[in-house]
Amino acid sequence: MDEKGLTCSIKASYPAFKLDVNFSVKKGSLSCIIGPSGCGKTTTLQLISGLIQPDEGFISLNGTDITQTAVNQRQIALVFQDYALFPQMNVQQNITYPMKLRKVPRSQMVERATMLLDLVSLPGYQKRRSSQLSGGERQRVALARALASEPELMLLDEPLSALDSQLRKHLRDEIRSLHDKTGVTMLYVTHDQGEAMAIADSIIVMNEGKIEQIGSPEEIYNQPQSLFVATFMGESNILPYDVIEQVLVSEGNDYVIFSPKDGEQTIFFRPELVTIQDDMSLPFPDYLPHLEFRNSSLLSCTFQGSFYYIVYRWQNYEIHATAQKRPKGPEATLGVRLTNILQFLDGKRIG
Amino acid sequence: MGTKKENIKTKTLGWLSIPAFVLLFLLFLIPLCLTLSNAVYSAEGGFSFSSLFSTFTSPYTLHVLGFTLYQALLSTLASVLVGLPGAYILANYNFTGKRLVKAVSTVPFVLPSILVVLGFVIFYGNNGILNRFLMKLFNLSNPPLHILYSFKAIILAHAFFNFPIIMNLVSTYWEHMDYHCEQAAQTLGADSWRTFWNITFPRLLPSILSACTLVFLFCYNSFAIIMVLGGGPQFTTMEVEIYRRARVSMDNQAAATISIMSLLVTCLLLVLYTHLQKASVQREQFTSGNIKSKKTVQGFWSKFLIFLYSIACALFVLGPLTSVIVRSFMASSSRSGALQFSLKWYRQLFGLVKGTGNMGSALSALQHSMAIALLVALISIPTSLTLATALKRKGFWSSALELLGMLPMAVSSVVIGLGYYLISSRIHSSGYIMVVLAHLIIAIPFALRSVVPEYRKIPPNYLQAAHTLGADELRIFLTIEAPLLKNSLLTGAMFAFALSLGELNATLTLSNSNIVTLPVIMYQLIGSYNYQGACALGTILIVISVTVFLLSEYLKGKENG
Repeated sequence: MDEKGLTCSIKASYPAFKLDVNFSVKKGSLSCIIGPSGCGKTTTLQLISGLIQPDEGFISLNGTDITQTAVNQRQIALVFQDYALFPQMNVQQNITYPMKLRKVPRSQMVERATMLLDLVSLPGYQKRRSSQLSGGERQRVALARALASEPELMLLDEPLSALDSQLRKHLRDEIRSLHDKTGVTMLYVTHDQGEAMAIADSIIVMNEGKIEQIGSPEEIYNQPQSLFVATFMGESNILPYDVIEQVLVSEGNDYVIFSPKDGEQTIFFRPELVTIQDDMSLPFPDYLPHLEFRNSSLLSCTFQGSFYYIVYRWQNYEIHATAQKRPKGPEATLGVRLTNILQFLDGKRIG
Repeated sequence: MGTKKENIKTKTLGWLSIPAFVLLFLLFLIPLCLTLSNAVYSAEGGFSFSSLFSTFTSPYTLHVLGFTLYQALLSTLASVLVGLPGAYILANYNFTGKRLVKAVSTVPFVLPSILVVLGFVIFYGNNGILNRFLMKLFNLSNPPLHILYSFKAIILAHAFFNFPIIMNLVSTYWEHMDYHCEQAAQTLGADSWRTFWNITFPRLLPSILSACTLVFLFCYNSFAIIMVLGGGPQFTTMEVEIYRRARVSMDNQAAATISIMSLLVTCLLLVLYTHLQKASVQREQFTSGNIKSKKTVQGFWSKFLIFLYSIACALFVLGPLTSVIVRSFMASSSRSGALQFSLKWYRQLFGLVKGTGNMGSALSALQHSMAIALLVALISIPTSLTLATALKRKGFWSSALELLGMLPMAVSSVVIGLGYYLISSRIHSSGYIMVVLAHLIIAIPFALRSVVPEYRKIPPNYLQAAHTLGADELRIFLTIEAPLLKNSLLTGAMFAFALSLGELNATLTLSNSNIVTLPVIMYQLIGSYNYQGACALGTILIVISVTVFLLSEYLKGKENG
């Protein structure tokens, strides 16, 4: 409890689903909650902000239990997907609103508003109305307003999902740099794994009201603890475990122990770790223990800009791969290093 | 994902609305209970249902009820006949003069009924402008149109008053209907006529029916139009009968029993109306995305028809009003002389020249009316704001409260007037305070209708954002909600002002001869055939009503823009 940052352990049940989450966020970090729609990530934010009450559990912020604290006493700011700028107030009035509530002297308010507008790169926007702003500008004002309340914790509920993809990339980096400049603890909800991996110090993956995994972006992407996390965070290849017998190429046989288990056992690897040998005159480029899928036939090849995304059929399975060049022929041998393969048993990571 | 928003409880400041509810409740219930008790307690103090029973079964009252329903039905049909083509045109076409038709059609909303009566007398009367114009045009010696003081006049005046309601409600609904269904029907092979009958019309029907019920309710409760234009006891409606029993034959018990009978019918109508309105809201999910773009008018005949409709509409509405204004600036120099331009009536009105007859009290009537209306408008602002805090949330209690707030709409203004008349005869005081109270009860539901929808439109996000930024509930109410409602509150207050200024039914029923308001004097002037004097007062009413209307449109425009 005396740990700095946010710790919460909350349970709440709704007609549609049950929420049961347990996590902490370090003070001064930027964490992302990610999950498919309806997984309870927005509800989690609203529970933390106090807008709704949990059935049981506790929420503590920087060592203080705030489970029973009123919303407006929590020092937790929430940035909304649709900005929620007050339409009857101009930009400056919106930003100074939380300062007014805290009885900050007038001169200081104006000064701080100017500073915050500089911080979100909207200098000179004080007198504009929210109807005169673009979507991106509105979200910047909303960020400035949230910061103006000097929150202990800032919650962001899919703040960029109403913007187009160019602007989204730009603004997510700005939010990261805003975090680094102000040092405020941020908890950021998104359904876009690219966004989460780009800006988060740690990622909380949620599914059906429960937390699947918490970890750094690298851990989440490279070491997923469940098939759900593995498939949700990026492209994937999933094959039954017994194909190993047919495709294993290993010089020292003692190196690998083939050990099937009861239950649904699968192997998993990312497409970018697949090597394609499409010129049979050349030797296979890999000599370490690996799986070799011979006589794979080309199904599709789509150009993605910086790489090609290629789908092969091997026996009855599809194998996805990426490459810098378009494959030369309709057939190829695909290889994956054993060290790049993860094993799952009934959806959970083993080995 | 926003799916859990309904779980969020932003507590409302329920206690804020308590004083307003108590006020409304007392102002409304005391006179109503007094009326009800008069129906079952005879003047000698005995309690019996015999009077109620005899009224409910008397052939005369049943005949009056039957006539009331009959004229309301015919008036509604007439309003639909005039209004629906307009709704079609407004919802589907862009044409020059569309703004004019729209503006003209909103005018009767804010017009007091006594003004409509006056306009009709001046415009359609045997000696009216229309007849004189036709006589000159065709060189006739006798007026060709005999409309006034007959059943026709009642229906025509009701249609004038109510067709804009049909036109506005239906066209707004039509405009916002998602057009994809119609497009789907057409791609499936339906021609445009079939598409209309199979798809559009069934979807429109709930909105048409709900508009019709509202119009029916208004016609059922119509008073001044029946009193003056009907021109005699052969056309008596429930409202008129209540007034006559109470104030002409001085039979309070009979008036009270008829009130109850009338009340039952209007309550039924109101239940029907709420039901239909809910149905029409539920069936259609309004989308802002797929709204059809309006066509421009093609072809000579369509252009001609739309032009004709616009002109007829403008003439129908503006004709009577313009003639009121024109007539107010005319006077005959001698007893039988021709009319010529004169400021005589305005001089009398503003007390520059001593007025004759009822014109003598015109200035004090104007002053009284302005003072009453101002008071009503000022009180309506805090009352409707605080009442709206309780009504804004959807749920069992708020819909129960909403129905309570709408009750004064079901109870006609004559019945409210009767209640206050009974009070003032009990406490032997009949000051202007009674008029103010009665007007408040009549005006507040209308003011609420302008505030509550705006209140419900405030996104919950605003309140949540303010909450997370550190504002408590009272602070949110004062700094976020109230400022956002400023314009709709002002609009509501202006409507309350206009409503009070033109209110005749309750005022006439409750007041004795020493209470004079603008509409009462107008009513008396019409009764004594001083039309020009009435026109001068009417012009002032028109100016104020139109100003209120323009201001409210301006505020609406500001809100949207």
